Amino acid sequence: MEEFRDKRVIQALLVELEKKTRALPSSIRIMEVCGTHTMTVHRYGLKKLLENIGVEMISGPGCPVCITPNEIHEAAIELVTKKKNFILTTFGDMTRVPSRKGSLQTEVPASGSVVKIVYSPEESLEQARSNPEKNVVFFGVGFETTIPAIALTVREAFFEGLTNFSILSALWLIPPPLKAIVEAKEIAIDGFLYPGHVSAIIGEKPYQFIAEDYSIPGAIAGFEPSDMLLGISSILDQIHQGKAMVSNEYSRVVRPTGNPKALAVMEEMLETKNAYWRGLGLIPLSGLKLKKKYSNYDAENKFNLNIKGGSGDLPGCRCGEVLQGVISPPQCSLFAKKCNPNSPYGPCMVSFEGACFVHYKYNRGLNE
Amino acid sequence: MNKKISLELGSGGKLMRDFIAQHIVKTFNNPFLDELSDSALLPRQIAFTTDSYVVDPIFFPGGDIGTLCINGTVNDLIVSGAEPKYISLSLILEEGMSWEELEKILKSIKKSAKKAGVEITTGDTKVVRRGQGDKIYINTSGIGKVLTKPSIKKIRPGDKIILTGTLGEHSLAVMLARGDFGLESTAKSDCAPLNFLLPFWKEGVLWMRDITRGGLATVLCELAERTNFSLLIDEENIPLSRAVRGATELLGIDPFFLACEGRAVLLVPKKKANELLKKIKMNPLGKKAKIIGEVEDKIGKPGELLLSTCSGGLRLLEPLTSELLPRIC
Amino acid sequence: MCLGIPAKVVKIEESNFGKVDYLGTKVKTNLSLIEDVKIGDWVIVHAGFAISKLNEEEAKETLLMLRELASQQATEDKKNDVEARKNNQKQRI
Repeated sequence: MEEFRDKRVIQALLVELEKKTRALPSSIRIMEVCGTHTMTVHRYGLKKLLENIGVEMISGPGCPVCITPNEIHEAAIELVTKKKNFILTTFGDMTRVPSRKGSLQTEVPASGSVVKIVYSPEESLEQARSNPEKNVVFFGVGFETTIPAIALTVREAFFEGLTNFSILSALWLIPPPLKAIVEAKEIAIDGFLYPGHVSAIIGEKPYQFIAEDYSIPGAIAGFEPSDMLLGISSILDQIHQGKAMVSNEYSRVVRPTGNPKALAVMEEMLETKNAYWRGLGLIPLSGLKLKKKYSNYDAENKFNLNIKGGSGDLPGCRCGEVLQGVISPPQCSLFAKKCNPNSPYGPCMVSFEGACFVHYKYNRGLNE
Repeated sequence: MNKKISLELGSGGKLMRDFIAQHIVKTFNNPFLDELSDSALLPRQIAFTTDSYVVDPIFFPGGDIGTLCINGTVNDLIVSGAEPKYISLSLILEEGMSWEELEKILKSIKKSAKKAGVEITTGDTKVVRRGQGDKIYINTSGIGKVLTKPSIKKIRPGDKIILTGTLGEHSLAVMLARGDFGLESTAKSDCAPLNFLLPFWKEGVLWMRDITRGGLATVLCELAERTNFSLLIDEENIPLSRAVRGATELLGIDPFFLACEGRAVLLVPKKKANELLKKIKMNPLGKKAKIIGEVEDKIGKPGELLLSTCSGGLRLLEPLTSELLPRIC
Repeated sequence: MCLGIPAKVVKIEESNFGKVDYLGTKVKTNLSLIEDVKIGDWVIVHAGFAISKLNEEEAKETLLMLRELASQQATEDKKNDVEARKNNQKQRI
């Protein structure tokens, strides 16, 4: 593991990259679409180091906490503050997101209800088993990396015949927003860095259309700094060769066909739906929900939550443009002023992996 | 509008600090509270502190609520420049708690008090109905003899930050005891009295703080805010045990925010740093001590805590708005 | 959000669960998404689930390549250090 973060390895890779960018006429713009990639870029100072050699890293809509809209957060808050004897289980970062009704962290639960932070959806099942008199809802948010785990958990509950367990889901697919961004042509993107662990599930095929239909090079990359540099190296090679493909630079984890078992359980339990992405609006077939057979495990159905999409962002918030890579965080006039990690105005400043949050935290001391 | 007390208020994070500043300090309005230090420095060289212990569960690898309630309070005195002397012990017991468990805890208290050189001189016992408490809550107040007053105003750029040992062991121990995530590890709580640091007050230490709720980042952020400088710490120099590294990476938790109960940070003048570090390392509780950073006036803005990463990235560390794990101490 | 850690499978229990070891810490993990999982396999763990088996051959290859790069760079660094010292001496003279 250490080698992947080794200072000298990073230096050596950057030297290699510089040889490749030197021969190119202008700087290259590469978009990554994964919060963990955003973190790595900033945490290891790669953003500046890459800029110096002519590679500009742009952050795309890769943060599931950031793109989950207001109305879903508010539904979660409603559940635990208005209904008694509810256990709302959630990943930690979701609790900090402010909505028009406060956040899960600040709002006081109803009598007998509680918010519990979990590391795995399995823990929610355990809560349901040990608290049969309470309703347990798992706030299931994630991309394809997390979706199979959530689907499996519901499957377990279904086969066990648990009646007090359900999920409030915010399940997002990576390829559709990529299509939307490329079609929108708001910015020029010279290459995509595809998220390594999403790819471990879905394989290489779902990204092929970006290479074939839009001739944009791409590489699947892991999350250590050298993994990302290897991915960028492949993109530069493709640009030199005038090729566009989906290269796999994370082959120690990603197989070309992904994880068949994971894909099978997703197929079995879920179906696609049109979904509202915060900042990006409605993207067709970009979300997943439980199939009708499992509707008793869908909290939206079970508790008649009536979630109406499209509530939009707060006035003046430019997260939508940040998520599409159209502007960088400092270009938003609210950045670091009205909107900062202690009082975030928009979703990109809330999540630990949001573009604005990461930029704020990792670019101190650099003249801004 | 939030008209009820939320759990977040007791987390040790921003909401709690705001509550103390805006309600406690304002309501009681006196120069002792204005200092907002771990212990009040009273006339006649007396230091006075108090703490309540609600840790869940009450037994964990390496300690229990008894060990905690003595060491936590003793350490608050030590880092304020005082030698701990006398402790009050208030117990709030829940009806139905087991005698055996209570006896174990009292034994721990006795053992810890002896180790820390303090006497239990007064106290109180209350019992509440089953369901109205949680086995046992403890409050301890401590009185100490002031040896030196910390001199935060003497801190200058270049002064060094020493961390006395590895981070996060206490948090990990509590997680293990809770059976969270089916975790298995050899980690034990770092709960310990820091008496070995007392002599260093006379050797030039400017400021000390023990690292509890909120972790290293919270303690240093508070320091940075009180000085007119920024603090720069080096990620590669921060001691972490293999166990904590493994658990935090697996669970995606940041070790800089994890609670300890037997670790401190010291602010020392540049010239004395190496010598003091050597002396600290001679004590078993300080053997993993390291100089982790320094006071800066050229990088970052005044009041900021910055972490430099192995390849030159610079990260701003800010205190958590709420605790990662509730009822950790 | 894509956080996944490579860990070694050390225990396989019934009904698709097991324990993985990372730096000596063991955690309960759901193994049902992995085909033919065995003790000693390395997997990527995310949110309590193993989502992929590490291909050890590929991992070794990548590691070797990176170690090569590291030592090449170390040699470069040493060369540069020596050059810098020579220049300093020259300047003093």
